[in-house]
Amino acid sequence: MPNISRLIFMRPRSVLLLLFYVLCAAVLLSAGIGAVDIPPRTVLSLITKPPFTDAWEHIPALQTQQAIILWDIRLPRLALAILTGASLAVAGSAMQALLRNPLAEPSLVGVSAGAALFTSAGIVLGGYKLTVLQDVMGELALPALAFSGSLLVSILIYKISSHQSKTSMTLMLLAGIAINSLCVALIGLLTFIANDAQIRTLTFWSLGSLGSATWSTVGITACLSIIGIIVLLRKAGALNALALGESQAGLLGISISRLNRTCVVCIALSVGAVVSMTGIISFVGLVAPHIVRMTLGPDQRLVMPASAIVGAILVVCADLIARTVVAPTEIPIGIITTLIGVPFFLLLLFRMRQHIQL
Amino acid sequence: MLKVTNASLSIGNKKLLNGVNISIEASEFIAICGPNGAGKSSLFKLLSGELTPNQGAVHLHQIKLTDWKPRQLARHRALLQQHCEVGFDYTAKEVVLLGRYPHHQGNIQAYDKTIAEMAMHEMDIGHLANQVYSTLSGGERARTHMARVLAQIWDPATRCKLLLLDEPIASLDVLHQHKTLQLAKQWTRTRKTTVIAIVHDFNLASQYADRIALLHKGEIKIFDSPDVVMQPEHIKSCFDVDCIMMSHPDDGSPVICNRRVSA
Repeated sequence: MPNISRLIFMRPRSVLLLLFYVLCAAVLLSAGIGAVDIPPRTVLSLITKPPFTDAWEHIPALQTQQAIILWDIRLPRLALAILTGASLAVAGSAMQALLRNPLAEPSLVGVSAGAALFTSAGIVLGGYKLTVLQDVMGELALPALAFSGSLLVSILIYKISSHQSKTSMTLMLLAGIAINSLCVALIGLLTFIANDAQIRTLTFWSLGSLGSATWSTVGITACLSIIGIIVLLRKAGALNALALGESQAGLLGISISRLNRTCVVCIALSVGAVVSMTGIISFVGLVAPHIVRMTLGPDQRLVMPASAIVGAILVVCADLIARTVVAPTEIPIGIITTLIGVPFFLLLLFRMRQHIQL
Repeated sequence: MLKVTNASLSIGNKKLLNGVNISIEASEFIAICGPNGAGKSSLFKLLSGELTPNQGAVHLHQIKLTDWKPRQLARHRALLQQHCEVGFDYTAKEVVLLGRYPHHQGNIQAYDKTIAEMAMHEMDIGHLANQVYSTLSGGERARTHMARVLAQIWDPATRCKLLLLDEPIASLDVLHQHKTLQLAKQWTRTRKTTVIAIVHDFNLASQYADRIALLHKGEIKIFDSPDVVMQPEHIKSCFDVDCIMMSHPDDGSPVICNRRVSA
């Protein structure tokens, strides 16, 4: 590995600000492109006129259609894209720090698949029980199922891979791959019991799509995943210390078991909240933190917020590609992120091959 | 200052330590010697609070180690482990700054940075500050970790600090072996720090340590000044090696010269 691993030496605040501007530009671009094109200037003027306000009444008649498309379709979808990217990236970087393993990623080790399996099973097998659950919990029912799935998988992987306060990278990856395959296979099995409408939903859950975004689903996802993200961001300093190993971090006064518990629950929460709305979107949690680490260094206090923004940029751009390339149909977004992510992952393995010990 | 009373430790069926009693005064420099598997590292795990004894107790400042708040304890005692690897590409300075975690809790202040720089300077690694840890040599890595534990208990206002060094000189060249032990000795004198170090080289131990503890099969054989401990019969009973006693021409500290082991 090269001696200097950082490409950019900038003040953290300027880096985050710069990334934020890039995200804004991507959002502006994506909001304007689609079946109906909206010029950036119009996007900017319409974005200040939300529905159900006085300003909405003053939109010129020519722009009414554009305003409706922007506010009802594009913006909720973009909001979901940003949330998805940020949650997956923060969860990914936290997971990598927690397991001291740069290859850990929620979709690679089955955390996302666990969430997708539980939601799919709920839809296909739940029947009457799901209706009752939805009556009680409303729109929280599916996120709750997804959260239980991702939490179960996270705990399982963690229990299998750590032994006597050591976490084995090999065990973690292998267990994760096995659990991931199991979940994908079970989702496949569900397609045989499912009816046609459910089969479409299942395909959507295994490959990911932001198409279901409405303001109410975005709201639910936001509440849950932002809690997870904030708690994880607050653990950045402790996660840095974990790079010294669990025993040294313990000697620095960190309660390791509590840190592990908090992080595992929050990773499951933010991943579960997102997956219940979007399905499995792979590799974002791997690519975003790595771009950040390669350019800015491994300090989690910078890596986590910066990868949140980079993840959001990635998902916004991937979704733009997914819905425009073969318009009027859509490519599932998970295919796009995998197409970008796999070469990146292989590049990473290539760079790490001297250091890796399996 | 540090008191171990009748401490026993076993993991599974294996008895690692058996009825250890030690009492260490403030600002002493203690060397712990003993053959492989004698329980030296296990003893350190008890002293640092990482493990609690199955029997007996460890007190630091008359307070039982298990009653210390983790963060307070981390500000008073630091442990240099024998093997410590760093995940991800942190620079040497970032690694040293991790030692300040009990003070900054993730929110690094200018004060922490100054201390990290001073600690690195003490260990002759100031010039490596911005190098990535994984590109450092073995000795440089060891000195980075030494700087990290020094930074952890640097604050002059903290009274009665405890520094535990598990084979601090194993991967160092002869100059840095002496420099490190000299530094540790100096800390006991000027910074009110108690230092306990596991050292394999008796001759180095006798030059710097106030007292040497000889550990054998989980028990303290003898714990006294270097002149008393370094007698051929003690070495023979613990290590099964014959040796000759001499005295150092400079200061008269005991020096042992091992005889060849018969085939």
